[in-house]
Amino acid sequence: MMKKTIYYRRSDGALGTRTIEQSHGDKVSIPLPDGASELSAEEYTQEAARRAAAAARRAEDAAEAATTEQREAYEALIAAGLPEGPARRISGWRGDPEDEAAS
Amino acid sequence: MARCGCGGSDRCSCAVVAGDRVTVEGNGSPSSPYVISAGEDAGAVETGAGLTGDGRDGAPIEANVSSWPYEGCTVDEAGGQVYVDATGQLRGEPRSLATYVQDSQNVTYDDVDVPGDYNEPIETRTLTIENPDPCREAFVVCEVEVDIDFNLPAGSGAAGGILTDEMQYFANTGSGAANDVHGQVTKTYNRTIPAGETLEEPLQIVMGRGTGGATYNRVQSFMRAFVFVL
Repeated sequence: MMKKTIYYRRSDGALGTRTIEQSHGDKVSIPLPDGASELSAEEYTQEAARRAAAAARRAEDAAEAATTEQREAYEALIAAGLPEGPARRISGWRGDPEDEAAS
Repeated sequence: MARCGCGGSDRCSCAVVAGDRVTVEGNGSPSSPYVISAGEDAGAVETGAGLTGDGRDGAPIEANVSSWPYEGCTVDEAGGQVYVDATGQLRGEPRSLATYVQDSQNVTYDDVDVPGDYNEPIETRTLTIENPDPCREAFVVCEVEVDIDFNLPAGSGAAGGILTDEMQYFANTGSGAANDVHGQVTKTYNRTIPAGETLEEPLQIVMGRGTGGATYNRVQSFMRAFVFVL
């Protein structure tokens, strides 16, 4: 079995890797996508880790913003006179009011 | 024979020797002339390598063939052929071939919006599949896989698939974001490739029905071909 892997950064900024395995032939050749620049395995691994960390930060920020919106909705529903149970279900907020107030 | 003194004596002085598979009787005298006859094994040949018999009456030289064991077809309909090559050697039908090729790709994006229409092309890949046999058509089992990672804010939705087939749809009906939502879809189908030719088999990855800020951040895809020439 013959195998080859390439790593690259596309012109649109996307990061890619491609691997071909085959049971026959003399060699495996993989062309780069149009406009892409080739990376080494080490460069690819570092870039992928950097993007994964950035994506995790974005997800964390988005989750935090969503929690804030939920808490605000919960507080508005409580202020409007709803009991705690329905206010939690409608808002989706699962935090502790005392912890939030303390913070 | 005169020099052998066979004229009147009761025996000739010349010796007559029987060769392989030949018999000699008599001594060459008028009363006992030489009688040269073929031996019992005359005309016989040694056989082997799939041939039987020795060529004499009752034992003809024949190929040592098997009886046709199949009931559903006749040898006339389904039997293979035997050929003679340039060196005079017997040859059978071309040998069976089986090959395999796999092309996998993993592309990471910085949160690209999922298109709103149905089945919008995102990328088209191709798998190069060679028929390794220069004289016979190849039968190919193709298998493809697509795995898309969606980030789905609350109230969003996104779909993905292959060509015109939307194969997955995710909707976030909750109140919080759902990240890296994904499923792996696959299709299996057959192709044929003429003798000695190469097939460029496409895989078009599509997405659609993006709503509520849905994005994608990764597309993994596999293309595999199992090639048989029988």
